[in-house]
Amino acid sequence: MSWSLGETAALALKAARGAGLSWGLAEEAAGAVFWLHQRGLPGVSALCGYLDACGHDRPGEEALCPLVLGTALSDGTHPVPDTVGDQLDLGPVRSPLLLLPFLATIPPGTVWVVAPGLGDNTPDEWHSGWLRGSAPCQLRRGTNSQIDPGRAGQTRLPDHFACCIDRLTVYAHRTYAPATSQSRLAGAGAGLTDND
Amino acid sequence: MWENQLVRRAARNANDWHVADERQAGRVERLRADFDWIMARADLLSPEDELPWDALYRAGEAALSLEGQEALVSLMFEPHAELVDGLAACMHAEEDVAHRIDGAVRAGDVLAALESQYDWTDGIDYDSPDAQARVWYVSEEKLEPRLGERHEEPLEPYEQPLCPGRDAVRMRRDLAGFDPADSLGAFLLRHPEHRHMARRLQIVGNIEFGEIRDNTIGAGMIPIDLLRCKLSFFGATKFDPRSDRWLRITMYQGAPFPDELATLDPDDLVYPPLEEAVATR
Repeated sequence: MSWSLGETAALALKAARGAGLSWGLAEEAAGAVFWLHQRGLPGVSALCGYLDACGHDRPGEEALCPLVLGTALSDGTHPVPDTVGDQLDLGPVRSPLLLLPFLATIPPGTVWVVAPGLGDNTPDEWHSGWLRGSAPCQLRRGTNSQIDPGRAGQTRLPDHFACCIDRLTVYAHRTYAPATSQSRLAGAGAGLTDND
Repeated sequence: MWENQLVRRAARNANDWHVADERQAGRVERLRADFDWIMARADLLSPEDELPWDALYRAGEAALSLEGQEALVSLMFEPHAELVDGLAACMHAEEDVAHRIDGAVRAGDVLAALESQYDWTDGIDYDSPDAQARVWYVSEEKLEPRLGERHEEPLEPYEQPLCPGRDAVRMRRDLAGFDPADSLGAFLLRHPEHRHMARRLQIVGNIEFGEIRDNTIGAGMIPIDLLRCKLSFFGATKFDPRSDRWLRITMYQGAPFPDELATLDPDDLVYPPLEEAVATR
């Protein structure tokens, strides 16, 4: 089954909400997934990785939430390096791929996130550590965009993400209220017969 | 005049509109009386009138029911295709779920925007049970939006963010105690629960008809009124309530059969023809 990016983002919104995020933060998660897949980057994998780990930090291994950190960056409340070549340590960040869409909103779009422990930063060689678990990250000011804006042409989710869709669907299901006899009667206003 | 013909056709449409629902039946009956007024005024229109539409609209506001006023305004659009036909192309919504929040705006300015955009919430006491009597949720069984009773069913954990009035009031309360010179971003760091509302405010602030300005979770809310608004965008007519949240509508009445496609004007089918026009067709 093939998914449009709009459908994928709508599922990501419900999944993030189902995992316990506020609606506003869940909207950020959906937007991040959309942005990443437009550029051929595995946003649903990173969101699955984050939601699976969310709230399961062992003492002493706490890592930053990429969505809370990302919104602080895009809202302008978290500092970023001002000068080309400057860098700023963030500490461990979960599923750091999810930071990229937020960094891209900071004018002029030249702040990079790098994770020295995860090797090369070229987008086609993302280590799975960008998607799952956490990695010590740094922000750097570059001279150009980390992700080439010319990549933003994808409109559908490739089939091999089906397992991530299944996982997000499980989270999304938590936003649906179980039916009761009262809700069956009242919900759609037609009573128990719906034969009109 | 051509407009007078159209008014009579619209009046015939109202005469053909029958509903069992008492509330709506009363409104339709009043609409028929309103059409007597509209037809009489339309017959008096003259090319020498100064600002005739303005005069008619203002007089209608004083004399007609809401249904009648809406009917009058719809009729006044009809002769002005050059002004209104293009609007059909912009009746869709850009659904960008993560419209970027401008976090740099000052908290004091956000509070002022909330007070201005949501001034209609001033008369609603959201601490009263009736003002929050309803919950919008998605049913597991049907995977469709549903409306439940907040105080009678365990639905609140599943609530959808479809109550902007209440959410705006909550955000106003928290913003009122925040440093007005600080940024919205700083406020949202402390109150992430308002992030959805902050985004909504920045979206609807630029869209005059961006949302329904009334209490969407109040005990007195009639869901079919929301449905009627939405369905009218699809061209639905003869709104026929069957309960407070279920209705029948009419679509394509008067639309041509295949053998009539070449002879009927597709832009002239909303109102039925007059009896004499049918006789000579």
